[in-house]
Amino acid sequence: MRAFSKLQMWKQFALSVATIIVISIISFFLVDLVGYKSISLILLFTVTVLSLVFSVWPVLVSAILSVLIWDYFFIPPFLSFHPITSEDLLMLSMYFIIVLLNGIFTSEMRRVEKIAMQKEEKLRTLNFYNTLFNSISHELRTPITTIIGVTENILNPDNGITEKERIELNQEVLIATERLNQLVDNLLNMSRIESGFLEAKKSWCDVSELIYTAIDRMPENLKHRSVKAFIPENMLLVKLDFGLMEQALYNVIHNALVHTPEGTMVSVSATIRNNNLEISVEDDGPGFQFSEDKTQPDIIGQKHRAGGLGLGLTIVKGFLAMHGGGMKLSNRLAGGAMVKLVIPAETMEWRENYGE
Amino acid sequence: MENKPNVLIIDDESQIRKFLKLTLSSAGYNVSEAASGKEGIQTASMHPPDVILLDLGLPDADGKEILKQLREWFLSPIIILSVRDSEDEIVSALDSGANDYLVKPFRTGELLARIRTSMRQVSNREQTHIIQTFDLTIDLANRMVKKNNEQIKLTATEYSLLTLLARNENKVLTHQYILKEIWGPTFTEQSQYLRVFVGQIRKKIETDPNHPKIILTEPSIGYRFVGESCELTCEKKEPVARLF
Repeated sequence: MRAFSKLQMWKQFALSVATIIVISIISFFLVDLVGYKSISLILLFTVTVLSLVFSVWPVLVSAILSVLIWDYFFIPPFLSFHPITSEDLLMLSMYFIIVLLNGIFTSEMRRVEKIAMQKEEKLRTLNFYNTLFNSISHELRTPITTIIGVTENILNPDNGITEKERIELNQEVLIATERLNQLVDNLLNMSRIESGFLEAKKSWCDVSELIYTAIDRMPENLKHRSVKAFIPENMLLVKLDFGLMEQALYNVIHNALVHTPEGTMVSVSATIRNNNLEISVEDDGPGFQFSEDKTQPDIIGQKHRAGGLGLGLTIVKGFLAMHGGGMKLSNRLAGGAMVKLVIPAETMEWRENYGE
Repeated sequence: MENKPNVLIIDDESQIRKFLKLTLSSAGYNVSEAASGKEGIQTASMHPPDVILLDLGLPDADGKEILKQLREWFLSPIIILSVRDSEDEIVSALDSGANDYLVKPFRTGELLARIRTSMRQVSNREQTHIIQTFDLTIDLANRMVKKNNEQIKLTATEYSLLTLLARNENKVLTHQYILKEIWGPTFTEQSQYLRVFVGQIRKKIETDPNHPKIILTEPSIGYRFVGESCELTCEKKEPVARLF
């Protein structure tokens, strides 16, 4: 119903006037059966229904139109605006007032409803941003605290720390800085996506090169973890933005490694199905913890998988959306998490004799 | 003391200049500094350095303009150090004559390795006709490629592509540049050619084609042939603690 009140104004006017005219024509054939007074009820009912569906001005116009039609075509004398009895005059005025009130009440009702909805929406975004803001400031302040603490300690002339401790402390500074750097990268990518400034520049890509580049780029501390790729021997070339897709894939694989215990197997597989490139990243770790609606682990819900903001996966979603694709998170029956990336993409046979 | 290589740093951030000067001096370089593009060009023309480290975000001019002006007469390596990490930015700097591009923040170890390899590119210009890296040997004079002393059969195009990359060892060649050089100026959008041929060459020359060590992928930018010392790939494998 609400969809109609979003229609363009002139369409609303046209539709409500048309409805009144159609109902009037039908009534014209009924008037001998039921009498002209009942016709006013039929028209009144029509306007009431219109007031539920359309905005106040089209309803007002159709109300006035219906009054005129009733008076002109139905109240005797036929084809005249002069009501003869005072009873008809009273009925005409009551009819007009009821239609008017109807229109005003429903539009007021709708207005209140809209305000309530906006309030709820505002509250929801506010909550979302509060949580996001809190986690970001936590993620920023933790490493900064480490850096300030350690460097102050090292600069202090009588700290009495040994050479070995100094190296260890410096190591901590390095780790904290890497964390900050990662977060800054993610935040920059987020704002790039949201600014709409970034677009996919597609070119022909070798899917196995794409997947292995992402795997080989894992940071040192994750290099020893096992990531296996399963790519069909005769995989087609696929047209997409190598840089964006590699980053997306990197985030998903990195996520899988970071959120699972040591020794967990992570596997990446690719296939082409229904003109889509499908890449699945699976692990046999503890899996996702889904929030109540069980369809999406919400961005903050990611925290349950140990640390992080869920910014990584939000960026993946953004990069995929630029390709018209999407991402599905689920838990495997055998245990562990599965992230499936589906990207609609042109494909091409791998020909071996270009330019030769 | 006299044969220390000279490095010129053009960067407006004094903190960065200070940290680079400290690192490079202790690594055995003579360091000069410039805080603006104009000052950089002046210093470079008065005392031509062996390597220039150039920041793109300068107060008086766009670093890319400075790069183009320098390249009109300065032939030694120029390495870009920049916070700008968009692929377009990197590709255009490389195509305007930069030898290499490092995105800030970078690891000191990585920077030193890039400086050394860029200087080696210059000394290699006088060309030995044999290029060697890992277990691969390319004999340019006899058009012969050997892996583990066994000859490898390459098609004509595969050979030209491999030697183009090898002659520019340790330098990132952009997709467009390679396509133009090998297939011609009308083929710069035919990315599929490049993917297929790099894939084929890797199958023939890499020990593990899925985890290449010789021809590295620079996502959305191009390819890099890792030259003799394998310094770039090895450097990345060093434990974190040794890099700072």
